[in-house]
Amino acid sequence: MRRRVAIVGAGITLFRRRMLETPKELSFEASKMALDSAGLTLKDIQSVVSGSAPDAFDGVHMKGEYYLDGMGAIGKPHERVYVGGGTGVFTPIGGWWNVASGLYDTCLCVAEEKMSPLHPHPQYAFWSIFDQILERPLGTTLLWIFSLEMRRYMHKYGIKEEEIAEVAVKNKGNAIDHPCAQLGAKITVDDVMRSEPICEPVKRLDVSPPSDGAAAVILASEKVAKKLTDQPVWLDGVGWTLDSTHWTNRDLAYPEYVEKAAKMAYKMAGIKNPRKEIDVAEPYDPFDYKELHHLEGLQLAGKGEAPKMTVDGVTQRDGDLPVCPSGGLLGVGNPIAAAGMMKICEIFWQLRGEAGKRQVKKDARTGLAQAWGDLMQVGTVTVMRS
Amino acid sequence: MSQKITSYQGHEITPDEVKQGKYLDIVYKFEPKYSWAAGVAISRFLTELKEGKIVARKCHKCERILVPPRMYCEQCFRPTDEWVQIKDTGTINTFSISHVGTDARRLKTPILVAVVDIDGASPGMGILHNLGEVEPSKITIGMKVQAVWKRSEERQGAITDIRYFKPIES
Amino acid sequence: MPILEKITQQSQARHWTDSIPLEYHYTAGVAGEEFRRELKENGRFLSSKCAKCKTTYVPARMFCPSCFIEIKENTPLEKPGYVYSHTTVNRNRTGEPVDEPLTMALIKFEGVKGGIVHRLQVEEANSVSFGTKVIPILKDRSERTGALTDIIAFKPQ
Repeated sequence: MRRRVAIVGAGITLFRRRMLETPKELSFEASKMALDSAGLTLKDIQSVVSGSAPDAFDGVHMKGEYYLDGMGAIGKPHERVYVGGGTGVFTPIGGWWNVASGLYDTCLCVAEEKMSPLHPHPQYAFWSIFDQILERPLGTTLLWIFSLEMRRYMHKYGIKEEEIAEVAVKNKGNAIDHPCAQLGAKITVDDVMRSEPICEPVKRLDVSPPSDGAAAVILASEKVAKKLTDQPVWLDGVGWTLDSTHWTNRDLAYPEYVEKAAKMAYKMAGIKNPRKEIDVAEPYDPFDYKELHHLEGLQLAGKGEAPKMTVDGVTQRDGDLPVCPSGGLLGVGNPIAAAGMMKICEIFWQLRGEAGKRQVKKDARTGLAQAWGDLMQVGTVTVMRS
Repeated sequence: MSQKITSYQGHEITPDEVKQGKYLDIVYKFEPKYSWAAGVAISRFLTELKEGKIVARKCHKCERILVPPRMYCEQCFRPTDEWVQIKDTGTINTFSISHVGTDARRLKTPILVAVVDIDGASPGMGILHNLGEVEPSKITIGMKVQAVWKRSEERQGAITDIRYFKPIES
Repeated sequence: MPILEKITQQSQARHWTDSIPLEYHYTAGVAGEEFRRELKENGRFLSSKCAKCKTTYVPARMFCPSCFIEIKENTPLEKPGYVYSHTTVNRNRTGEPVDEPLTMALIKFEGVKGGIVHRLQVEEANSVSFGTKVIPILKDRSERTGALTDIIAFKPQ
């Protein structure tokens, strides 16, 4: 028997390139804020699900066991989930099955990431993501996969770099209104085009920064949620899948992993026409072209048509389908796991009308958050309704 | 964001503060060494690379010719059936010009990298490799390329036995 | 159904060797910085007391994991610690014998949760007893940075 699950509280810390707090302290701040916002204490939480990317970033082995006291998980059932960048959206999915199964009535889901300890640059840990025998000896860098994918996407649909740059302009501009944002700024397409090429066609302003940060949400069963708040946000659809482990064998111009995960979530939520029924979306945008790529995979735009939607203003906060009103990873920051959770928190606040300056113009009732695990092509999608 | 929330937590450490040594900086270095087993399929792939050949694996059910080769077809979820010699030429599926190295430091000479669909394998079966002997501005998607091999006495049974792929003069 | 071919000769089995060099710069954290300052300036251990459950923790913590609230009361420990447990180490991290055996101890403090693991300076290798009161041998104040290596070792009081 599957029960209905709602999100009843959310919390988030600042996202910055380097924070003083240890992973435990970051987790505590986010978890405490989520509990306070829901009017709950730790005693009310029955289980904890945490999400955090490789131990290699924080440099602490068995990170899940290390930071769990900061998530109030001592003496409670705790599981750590990890699917690369998809973790942030997968963490509440992990919490979802804790509550939907009937096993628990409340679950605290926390995503934490501290990327700053690794020197000289956090990107270095990603080196191990490539095949150790067939790819690493070539001198691989994480940026290769993104730039290779971006080039293929642009080539297949005849998209120009300027059209893609519009996404960076939109998201960094949106992030100015996010109190935790690392890189909120007013920039122009010209600024993006003139920024330093890192791995052509990817330029510096096309990329999101590495960050430290944590975010958390509290899930509750229907019975408990209705007692706690008159504005629960229902987690109506969840989907997750991976489409291939040989990334060079994939069609790099289209994210099939997102399509499959989205269809799973839409089916569960009873969504037949995503473009009409989704009011606000937070797809994963570690690079500006990924927002477009993912919008197409989510069936929110036809293949090759997402850039036009952006240029036409459809995805602005006052548009017909606001996309990344938070500012996304490009503006708010990219602590691997916490970034996806930041999107979940954003949809939560948007659907309750609590997003302040970032609130989208239309009356948002159904929202979507999506995240992506790079190289191994994991897609995770959640559909939420108020 | 919610009337109950009034402030957001976190103490930032700025790059200047790092330079000044304002906060305790505990440094730990280590270098784990690994010896990875190549497995059945890749062991053969590497042995063939030493001979200057690229070998793939075929699944009789879906009829795909898979490179890099694998002993089971992940789509049909059954063992693959035979080895197939494929060519060492291909087509550029996508490419990039990288100005940064593994540790995010800028490189003096950019690295040219591409996904090359190998001739003889099923469509879209690409491998990652470098490009060479080509002007970065002249690289196009769809360009036909040819592997440039190390001399046979230098080859060890590694992906780097192919030095890079270069355009085929038409 | 198993795969159709197996490796039958050792020479066919290939492997690839490489290393992943890693360098970490850790921050001590909000509470860790306070702990560090106390150790560097005054050579003492900072503890934290939860206002709700009254548990005292060492090293200092920002929050109480049971009550899940912020801890505001930090006090340096006055009394010496005691040996809770100890061991003698004859091999180093990579498994080679060390020149001189090291005695390591977990040092706890009366009425305080938590402890500090450190070297114990003893006359003879196995002359330590459980419960022996110990005090730190500190480096010169000018050399201290706040890391636990400011303590050279603990010794019986």
